Amino acid sequence: MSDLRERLFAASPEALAELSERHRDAIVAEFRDWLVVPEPLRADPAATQAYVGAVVRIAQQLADAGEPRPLGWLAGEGRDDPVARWQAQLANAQELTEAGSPDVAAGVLVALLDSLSDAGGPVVDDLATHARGALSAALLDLGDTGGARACARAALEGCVAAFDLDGIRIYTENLDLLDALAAGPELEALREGLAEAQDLSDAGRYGASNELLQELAGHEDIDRYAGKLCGLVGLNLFRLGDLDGAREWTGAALRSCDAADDLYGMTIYTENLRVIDRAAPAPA
Amino acid sequence: MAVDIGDLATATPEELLADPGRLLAAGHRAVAARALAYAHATGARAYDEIGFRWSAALPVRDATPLQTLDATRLEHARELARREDPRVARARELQPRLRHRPLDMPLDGDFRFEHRMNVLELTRRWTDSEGREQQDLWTFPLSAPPSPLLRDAIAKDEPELAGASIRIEASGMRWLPLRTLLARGHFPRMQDCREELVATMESGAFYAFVSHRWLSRAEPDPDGGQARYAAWQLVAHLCDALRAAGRRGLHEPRRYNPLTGFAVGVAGSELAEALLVNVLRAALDDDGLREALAEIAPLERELADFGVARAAADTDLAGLRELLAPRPRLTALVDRIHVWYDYSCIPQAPREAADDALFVAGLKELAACQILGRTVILLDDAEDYLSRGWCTLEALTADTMSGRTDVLVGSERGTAREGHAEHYFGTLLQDRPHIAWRAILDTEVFGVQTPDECMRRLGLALSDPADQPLVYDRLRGVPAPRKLHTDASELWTGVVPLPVLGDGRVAVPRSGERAVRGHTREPAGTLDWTGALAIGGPPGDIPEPFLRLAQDGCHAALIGSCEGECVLLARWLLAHAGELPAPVATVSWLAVDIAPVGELPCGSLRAQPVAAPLWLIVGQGTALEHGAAGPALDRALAAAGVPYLELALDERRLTLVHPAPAEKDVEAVAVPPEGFPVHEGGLLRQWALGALV
Repeated sequence: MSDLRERLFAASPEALAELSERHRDAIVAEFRDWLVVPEPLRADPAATQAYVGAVVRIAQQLADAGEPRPLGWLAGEGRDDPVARWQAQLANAQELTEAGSPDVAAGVLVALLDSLSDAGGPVVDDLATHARGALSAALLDLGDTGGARACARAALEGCVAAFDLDGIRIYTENLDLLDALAAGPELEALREGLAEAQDLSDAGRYGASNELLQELAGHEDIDRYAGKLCGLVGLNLFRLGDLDGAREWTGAALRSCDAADDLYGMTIYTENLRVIDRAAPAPA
Repeated sequence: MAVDIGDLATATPEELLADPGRLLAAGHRAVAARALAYAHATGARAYDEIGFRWSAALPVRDATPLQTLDATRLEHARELARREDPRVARARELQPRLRHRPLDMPLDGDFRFEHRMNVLELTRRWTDSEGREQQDLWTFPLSAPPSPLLRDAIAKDEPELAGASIRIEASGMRWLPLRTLLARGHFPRMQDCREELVATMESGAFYAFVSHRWLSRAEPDPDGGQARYAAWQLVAHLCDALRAAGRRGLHEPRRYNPLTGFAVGVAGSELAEALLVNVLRAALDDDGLREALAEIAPLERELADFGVARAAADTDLAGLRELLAPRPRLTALVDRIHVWYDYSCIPQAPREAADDALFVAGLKELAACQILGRTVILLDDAEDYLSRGWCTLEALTADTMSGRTDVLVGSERGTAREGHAEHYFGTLLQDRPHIAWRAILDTEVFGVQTPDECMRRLGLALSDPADQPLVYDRLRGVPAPRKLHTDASELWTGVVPLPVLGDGRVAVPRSGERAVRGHTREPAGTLDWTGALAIGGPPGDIPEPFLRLAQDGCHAALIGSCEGECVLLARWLLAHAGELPAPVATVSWLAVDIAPVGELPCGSLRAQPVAAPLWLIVGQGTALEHGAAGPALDRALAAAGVPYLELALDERRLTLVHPAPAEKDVEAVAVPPEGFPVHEGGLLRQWALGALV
């Protein structure tokens, strides 16, 4: 750690003001290097947070004293730190895919993953996970479902390793989509039916939604979506005032998700059971 | 001041949109100036092109940036360019609906929400037991939102049609009964159905002004498609109204959450709710409702897409007549619906001399038809619709004067069910009134162009060029937009007044978020300044954004949606200051502009210390309540302990506010000897309060 930075980090507010004034030029010269959290701290969220807090305090102090550039660099100006550059590359690639240039996007992402392979730490791991997810989307647009699946799986593994729950949901959904594309029209018809049942439910047509779900329950691939089907039947029954039925079907949804290691489904249906119990406590 | 955009000059908007990171190269303070320079760099004259280039040159990608036709074209071209395998596209569309759905939101965590089509997506952030930051997604339909949104909701029905209580004597207004359309199977020419037209508007009936494109010069609807789509959807929305009434109760009002700005709980479409209020409540009692519900029960799945699929194949509306035949209750309700469709309701050329007066009267009363009835837009091609002078005028009249527009699917298309065209149109329509308003201000207030050029720059075409003066005159008469579109990408120019504290420093607000504090608000009289934003108000020079009129008195802080609007406000204030309960010593104006495509005589932003014992804050009610500038001034005044009078122009009342003390997000700053910096080109809302001083 630079000696100057160490002294600034440890300074009281009064001392910080005095040090900032005295070493203004040196701080400005070094400041951009301080924007990258040092490797040893990255695994420790509390230490990372303390580091970032100290950097912000110094930038604020300088801004108050009439030197706004460090605060601007913190807000994204300049962008000559590697993390910001990688993030910009990732955003650029996502825009390129949206703009209909998945081939260019894939090139940017492969280069980005290459750069990231020389670095480490949670920020880099997170970027690599998202880059793999973005590469999966670009490859899918290019018609390479095999490559898309491999990247989505790698992204999912990254999220599992980091216990990133939202990432796990996102890439599980992406893999589900890829499975659906690989499967035949039967599975497509089931997915269409479930989506229509959801639309009916969203429009408040709960009875019609459950009628359709009843038809879908006999579908040969229904095990794949058993949690969704049971959960939606339970939700519709709850809205129709049948709390016992809602509890029974939501319980079934929870068991299905548990059996399928579907963490997101387990979170949702555990909460749904709480809501049902609040509306009418379960019999003792 | 010359702004260096050498690094951007040769880039196309598409390239900038693909790489927003480069737009921060000169620092966030320079973003607005560079974006303005880029917007005008090619000498672009069309307002839409200026807006598109402005948006493309912004690195800020907030939820709802300015929507322009060019941006929509690009989005459409992108969709085509993606050449996405239709199976992949469909699988992607289905995926969010296959996600697990909650009944309510959990009690822990911080939430932010986004509104997408008919669902709310709440993202919960929380820290897990291992200290890791986590987030997850909770998706709710608006029909069953999480309980806190329902708890804060208030009763808010769609309004009764004004035509039920207001009559126009000797009117040229004529309405076509929906049953006539059903019987004929197409929109008849006015001269072929004049005996069936009705001239008076009755309570308990519904009158829909149908705004549409003419698909050929001689006939608006040569293949009868508009008739099919209009009829099926009106009937389907009526069924939706019955369903909503059945589930909620015929006289139970719809619920509306004022904080989020949308209806929550059991509700039909907005058009269905209007039919419920205007037709069902007058025509049905509980038994009648039960009978009608029994009639439509088998149609629930069939009409879930509002009849769009059935309309596509129903030649001459035979299928719809067949559907209604065994349903007397529903048919009786359909008989209460009327439409205004130009081809059927005003005499068409060639016409007899005796019809000329009726034609002129009908044309004169177009706006009245819209205000007394309810406008439904039959949409097939959003871009083409908004490039037509009459269509744009009708859309702006409905949106600005009544605040309500119902969009119906107007033609067969693959995505009709998903509502893509309607979604694009909705977002485009959000900003059309703002762009048109700036064009009118450029013409009428700044005098930089003729009405003809104004129409050209708005990209409005008319099949009969002789209509141009009439359409321009009507556009000029459409009031300033009352709807607020606020976004981190809006441009702030003018002056941010800052109250002086006891020690000589000024209170600088660092946030424009509305704070819920214990303010004391007392009525302080009425004041009708609704004319302040009318074109043709008091003339005068272009007022500077900060004016000193006297040594003692209050400070008037004006907040407008653009510099042209601020000029109107300032001129009005200078001419009517005597009507205020306190003398005015100083005036400032601040433009908060989502669409900076018009003239910017100031074009910069600065802070101005103001020592006054009382302030007056003036602006449109929505801007004061939901924008960022009003709450920011409130925060500064709260810190300074200065009371203020609030005048919401559209509410015609003064409110005296004693703000509760504020400490959060406000800072005491010493005024530098040379004064506060001037930010040439202004600042985006994203950074306006942080970088101001």
